[in-house]
Parts: sequence; C-alpha cells; structure tokens
Amino acid sequence: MLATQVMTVESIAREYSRRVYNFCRSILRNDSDAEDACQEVFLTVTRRQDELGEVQRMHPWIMKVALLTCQWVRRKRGRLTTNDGEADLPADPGPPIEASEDVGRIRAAIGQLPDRYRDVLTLHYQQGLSHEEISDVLGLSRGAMRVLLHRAVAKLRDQVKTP
Amino acid sequence: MSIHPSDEDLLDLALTGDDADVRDHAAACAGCRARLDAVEREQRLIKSAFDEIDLPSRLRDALAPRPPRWPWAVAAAAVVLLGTTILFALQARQWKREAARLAAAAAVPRPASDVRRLEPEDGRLKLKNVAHQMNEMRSEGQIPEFVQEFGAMRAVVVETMTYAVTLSDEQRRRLDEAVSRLTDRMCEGEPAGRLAGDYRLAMKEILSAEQFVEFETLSQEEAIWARMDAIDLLAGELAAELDLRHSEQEHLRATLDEVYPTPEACAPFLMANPSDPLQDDPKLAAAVRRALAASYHGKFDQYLKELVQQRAEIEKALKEKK
Repeated sequence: MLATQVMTVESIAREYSRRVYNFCRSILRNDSDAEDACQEVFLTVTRRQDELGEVQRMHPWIMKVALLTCQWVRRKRGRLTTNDGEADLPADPGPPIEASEDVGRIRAAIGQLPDRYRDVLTLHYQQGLSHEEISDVLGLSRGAMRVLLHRAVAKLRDQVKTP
Repeated sequence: MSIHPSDEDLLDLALTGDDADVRDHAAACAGCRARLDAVEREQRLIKSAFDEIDLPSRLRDALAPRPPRWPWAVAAAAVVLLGTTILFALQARQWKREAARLAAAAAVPRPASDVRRLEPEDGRLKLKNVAHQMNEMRSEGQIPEFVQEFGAMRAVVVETMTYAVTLSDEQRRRLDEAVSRLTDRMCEGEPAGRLAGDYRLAMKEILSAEQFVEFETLSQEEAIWARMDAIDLLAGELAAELDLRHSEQEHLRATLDEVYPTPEACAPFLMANPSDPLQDDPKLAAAVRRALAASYHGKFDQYLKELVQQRAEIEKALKEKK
C-alpha cells in the first residue's frame, strides 16, 4: 500500500496486525512467541511514529520491522538455525511437488527449513510482496534475493520428497 | 526459445512471471505446458501451506487503543513491580530456605489448583509495555505527569500480582493496603531496598506457605526476564539515540548481554529505569563506550549527561511532591 497520507499507529494496527501476527507465527513457529513478537512490532511502530510520514510503502516497512523483531526473538530464545542446509542443494530444483501432496507435510517441511529460506518463502507466498519489496525487507540485491527464493523452493521440494 | 526450458526456467517463470520466451515456448509445446501447469499448481499448494488465522483475543485486546491515563498508571506500577520482583531474587537464596521450611511446616499436600500460573505471558507483556512507557516518559521529559500519576499505581500492582498467584478477596484487600502504604512511602523517597524488604514481609504475612513458595519461584523467573527486557530496551534506546546501524546495534546488544548487571545485582537500578546502571556503574558505561565506534563516543557522552540530568529532575520533583 502506498502511504499517500500518514497513517496513525491505530490504523496501522487495525490494518496490519493480522498479517504481522501470521508472519511472526510462520517465522517463529510458536504461537506464544508470535504474540510476543507481534506486540513488540507495534510497540516499535509506536516508538517510531514520528518517522511514519517518511514511509512510502507501509506493508514492506512493517514486514521489515516484523522480521527484525522475529530475528531478535530467535536470538533470545536461542532458536537460531544454522545455514547448513544451504550448501547441499542440487544445481537444478528438480520436478515440482505433486499436487496430491499433503499440505500438512509441506507445512512441516517449511518448518524444517533454514531460517533464511523460511523468511523469504513467507514474504513471497504468505505476504505476497513483490520481489523488489522482498529485496528491501531482506536487505539483498534483486539478484541475490531471486537466487535465495529459488534455493528455498528447491530445498522445500527436496525436504518434501525426503521420506 | 526453441529448446525445452529447464525446471529452473519454469520455476523462475512461476515465481516472477517475467520470462516471455519460456511462456511463449510453453504455449506452443504441450509437454512444457503440462510441466508449467504442474509448477503453477505446486505454487498454489505451497501458498495454501501458509495458513492464516485470526488474532488471538488476548493479543487483539493488547493492541487495542487504551484510555490515555492507563499507561501512566501501569508505568508507575512497573517501578514497584520490577524492583520488588528483582529484589525478591536478590534475597532468593535466603527466602528459598525459609520458604522450604514454611512449606514443610504446613505439612499438607500442595494441591495443583491452589497455586496457579495464571497467564504469566500476560504479566510479562504488561511489564514490557510498562518498561517501554517508562523509557518514553523519561526521554520525553514528562516528569510532572509521572509524578502526578505516581501514587495511583496501587490497583494495577494488585491486578498484576494476581498473574502470579491466586488471591482470595481478603488477601487482595490486604495486598491492596500493603501496596498502598509502600507506594506512598516510595513517593516520599524511601530507598528501594528497604521498601522491597517490607514488601517481602507483607507478602509473607498475606500469602499462604504454598503461595509464597510459588511466588518466590515466579519472582526468580521474572528477574531473569526483567534483565533481558532491560537489555533490549537499553539497546533499543541507545540505537535510537545514537542512530546506530543494525550491525552496530547487534554488537552493542551482545556487549550488554555480557556486562549488564546480573538479575540479583541490578535490582536497585531496575527500580527506576534500565538505563540507570549506565549512570551508577562506571565499568558498565565504559564497556558500552568501548563497544561503540569512536565516532559515536561524543553522542554517547551527551546521552549519559542527559540521563543524569533527567534523573536529577525526577528526584527533585518527587521531593517537591513530598
């Protein structure tokens, strides 16, 4: 959304709280942590309300706040994953996941992914951000983000195939 | 594109939608059209795996706008609550022995329903809110409002206490009275350590032996949480005040994790504000300064100077109120 006029903290909470909560829930995979993180996001928004007038696109901006908050929660809970899974990827992503595959299995596989992969998949599939917006949120170039997204899908395919 | 696209090409098209060659080829090639359809079905399937649910009612309530006076009262309550819970931990070892003795003396099985951990997350979130409000209050110099609301914290403290243990009506009444007396004394500038000691004595009188054991355990847990929150708050405040980059903020946070006072040791400081140890512990201030790049030293020194000034104003205002 283009912030054609300055949004108030209340209107941001009204419009984005559900999206932020679900984002945090996907990233942290824990309802209680997600609630904590979601509230932290809006506390941050409140603290930084003087800057809201400078925000051009609210959705990616608040997702960046949410992502940083989730990274902080991960550190706090000692739940950082390593990026070990990123090295052993095949060059080609291989065939897509079968349409008959159980959604629950895919969800579980997403939960097993390295943090960076889950972050980019959540921003793409759940939040529906454009590639440019995802690049901004993750602080990556467009090219690097594209590679990350491809690798994330490839790893997900690999995980789902693994019995 | 005359050759068949790879799986990578098809995935790229599904993810970006901006490869006309691949799309044109798929339109003309039944085999590749089928492969592309499969990838697009997969994309919908993955999207459906990111299920979305409504906000939990507790979170919805927490995010709802509040009446303007409420945060002030809660902020004031944090002064007592943070301080007392931390100071509980300060003497935890001694109390633990005593509590164990009391529990043994009671010689009754401890029913699980008697002592409940009632929504500890609620209490924690509330404390976090409180601490944030405290920080803002100071940074915005809203000292007269703070002083005005300082005495009105009693009900909120009692309410927050009920997150820790179940209280009977009679216990609530007695706690209400005890907290009222303590907050009055706090407004009059009595030292935190003495107030916390009296608070502990009051709690020991009011709570049953089982409740006291539970309360002590929760207090120790809260002390650890309070320290972590204090570090986060201080790191966030320094990042904002000094305009730190993200990586520098992370480095600063790691430093604070190492050098910030332990839950036991930081008790008197947490009585007021997470940034107070910077004023009261020169070693901590020096460690933080070292963790910052030299270009931030001037700003940091200015920040410390303002902290000292703000605290002096609060102390002066409290004395005037008295």
